[in-house]
Amino acid sequence: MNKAPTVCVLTANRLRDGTVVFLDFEGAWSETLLEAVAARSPDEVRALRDRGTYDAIRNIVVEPYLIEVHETANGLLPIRYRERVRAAGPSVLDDVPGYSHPDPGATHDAHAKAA
Amino acid sequence: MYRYDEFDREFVRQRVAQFRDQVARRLAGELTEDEFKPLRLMNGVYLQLHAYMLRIAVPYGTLNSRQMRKLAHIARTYDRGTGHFTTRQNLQFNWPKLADIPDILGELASVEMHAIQTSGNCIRNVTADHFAGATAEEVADPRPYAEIIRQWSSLHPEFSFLPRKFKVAVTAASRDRAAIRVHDIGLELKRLATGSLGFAVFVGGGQGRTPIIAKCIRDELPEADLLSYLEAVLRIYNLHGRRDNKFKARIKILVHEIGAAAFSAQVEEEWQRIRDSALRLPEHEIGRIRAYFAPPPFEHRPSKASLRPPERNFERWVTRNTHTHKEPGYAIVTISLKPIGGVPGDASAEQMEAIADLAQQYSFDEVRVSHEQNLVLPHVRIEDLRRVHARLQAVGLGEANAGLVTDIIACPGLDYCALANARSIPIAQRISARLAARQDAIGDLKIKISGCINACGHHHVGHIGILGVEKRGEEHYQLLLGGSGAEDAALATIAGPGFGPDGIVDAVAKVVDTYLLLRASANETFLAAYGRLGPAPFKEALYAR
Amino acid sequence: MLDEGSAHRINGSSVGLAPTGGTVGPALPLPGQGARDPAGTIWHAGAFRSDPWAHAGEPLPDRPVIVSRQRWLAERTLLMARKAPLGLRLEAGERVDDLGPDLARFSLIALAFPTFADGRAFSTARLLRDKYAYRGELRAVGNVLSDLIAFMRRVGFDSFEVTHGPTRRALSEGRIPEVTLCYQPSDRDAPHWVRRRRLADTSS
Repeated sequence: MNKAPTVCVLTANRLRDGTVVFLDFEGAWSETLLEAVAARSPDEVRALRDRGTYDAIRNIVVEPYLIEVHETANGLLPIRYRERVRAAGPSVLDDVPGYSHPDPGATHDAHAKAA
Repeated sequence: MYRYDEFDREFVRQRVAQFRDQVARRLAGELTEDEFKPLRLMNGVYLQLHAYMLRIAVPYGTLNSRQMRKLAHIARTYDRGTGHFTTRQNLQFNWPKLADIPDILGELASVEMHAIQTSGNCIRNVTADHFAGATAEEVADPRPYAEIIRQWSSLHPEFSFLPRKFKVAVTAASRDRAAIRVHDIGLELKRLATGSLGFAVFVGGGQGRTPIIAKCIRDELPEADLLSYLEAVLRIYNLHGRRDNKFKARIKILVHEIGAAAFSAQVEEEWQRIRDSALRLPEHEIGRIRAYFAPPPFEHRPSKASLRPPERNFERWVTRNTHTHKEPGYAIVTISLKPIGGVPGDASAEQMEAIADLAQQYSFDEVRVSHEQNLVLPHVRIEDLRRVHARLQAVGLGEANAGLVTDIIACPGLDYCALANARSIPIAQRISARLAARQDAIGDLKIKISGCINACGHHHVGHIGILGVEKRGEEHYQLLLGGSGAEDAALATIAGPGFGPDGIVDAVAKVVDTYLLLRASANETFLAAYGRLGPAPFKEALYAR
Repeated sequence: MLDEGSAHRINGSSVGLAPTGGTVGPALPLPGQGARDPAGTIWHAGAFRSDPWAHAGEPLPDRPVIVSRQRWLAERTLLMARKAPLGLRLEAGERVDDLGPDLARFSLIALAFPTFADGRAFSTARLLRDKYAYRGELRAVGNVLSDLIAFMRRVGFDSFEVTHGPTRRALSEGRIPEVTLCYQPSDRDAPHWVRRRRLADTSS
């Protein structure tokens, strides 16, 4: 959070269930990054950080922190790869060529496909 | 296997009640997160990238069918239908709600399971050879000692706030499947010069930022002295282990910094003082615990020859996934949790239930978790193998790849873990898919992938190791070659500059191609070929041009 | 539930504990263990009490005083000549092995827990009780919280300096969380080797 003004959003995990949440325009905690409120000036960033601290003390969320984002045509995109995975969910592949699904005889066929 | 008595049940009951109270106080705001965090860590509750994670202890990797069914039920009821088996023989759930965790722990307690000491700076799950009690290669079953150590280390008042986590592994076989030489304490059960049972004690092994092979600080420790000796080691570590730097706080750093001889001398001095205290294990207590691990009632008759025509898939599976049992007529079965292109180590609730049924019906109600994210049915009659294989295939667990290149060990990585710098699971999936067609030709080859320097994927001891790092905000992968976690323990060495997510898959394929090209024969394993050829031809294949 | 006799029932390690109601061994008796005082900071023998000990200043007061290890080593002769009881405070990681026979001179030894994570004093306490047969008051100071007190008792502490509000309330109300069953063997169970004990069964 230094040098040129970057756009930030506030994220945390909800205390009760651990869900990744982002502070939205109405000051509530939303489960989607798309609804997150973006801070662009140092004052806004500070306000966001303070809000995180406050809601942590109020036991609504745990481990709040700011993440830097790009503003794109499709919405906010975290700069760090880690934050993209965190916002989007596990990236485990479900269509790997040759992935064998649990049905009889599929194992051998999968090898043939992958060759 | 060990069965809880009333004492054990009451212990876990109290612990669950205590944690239930701590969670309630946290949710009510009576405990701050700073106060709660060390408490939840003592109960195996992490806050990970997407959600909380609950790590459940599977003592020395042994489960019965009732326990496996309960894990399936928890996966289905409280999580997203899957569980992940780890490299320390434990099970992890990735999506539990904090508010539900006391109930989950209550359900676990009903089947004699818990999550005590699966995290935090305390003594963790004691792991053992996953073929224990079934292989002819061991001098005796090491698990009674693992159980004795487990009990002694449970809520030990002196050792609950160590400088760092503490991991113990026990083996009793000439082939070390428990990787004792990369543990904080590794114990090798053996016959002493006197003829009675005892241990070689290894201390100060580990992976992570500074991988080190453990030193043998005592070659012969009589079994009666096991607990007093461990207590001496832990006391020296608790007092003198570094607490100034989290990355230098493991016992391996202490042993390295003062030297194994000096460390051993300090342990010896303290041990001699306490050797004859209440910690001395009487014969009858060892016998009492050992009785729980008596061999099951094997049928002592030769197996019937199979009259059915040979079937290729089944034959491959028998070759790769079964291991000689000490009892004629039986086999040790490895259930691969590495379907081609799948998530290594994961099992769905349905798969867990199928395995529970198989364990109950065909393996004297016992199933093991290996160190390689697979499961083991330890005692299957040879004539039942065909049926077992068919049932495994029906639930997608029939892959005949134990120890092959597609039997990859991968930590959860950036997809799940808050500590990770890079993803490991998709890399494993793509390598598996890429090499599956040639896996039989390639032969024994252990790939181990870690998503960060903490090395939970054990990449330092992979024949091929992969370490994911973050470089300029992007994922980047280092390739290491020639490691081994077995009795020929060695640390893998970095091949050269790293690769991106696509490049690493190609790089592994190139290493494999080079091996296939240069091996002396189809019988020369990758590790042997690498030992003979050295890194040069592999580096050339990877980096020349 | 803690009461006067609780120190005897607090039994978890392979060492003996100082009995309640007075010191044993050291030559100089204390003027009481500190009056019962709900606002006092010392939890001892089932109640909060005012602290009868002063922390060493200049000049040394003529009353029970606690000195640091450094001060003891520097002024040993002077301190030994005092009539009033003497206490020792050890920071986490400070040695005791070079204090040997001197340890019995201290009516009180206070061991510091600087943070929740620093568990060195647990081992120091056990060595004091077990190896050095220390029989005086062993006090936990610093980061003393509810969830640590059961462990502290079991390694031999018998008094606690508590300033954390919720912990004080928990002590006053008898709500200290603990698992009353212990897997670790204790020498007090001789001659039979019994590896586990219900704390509640140990009679005073």
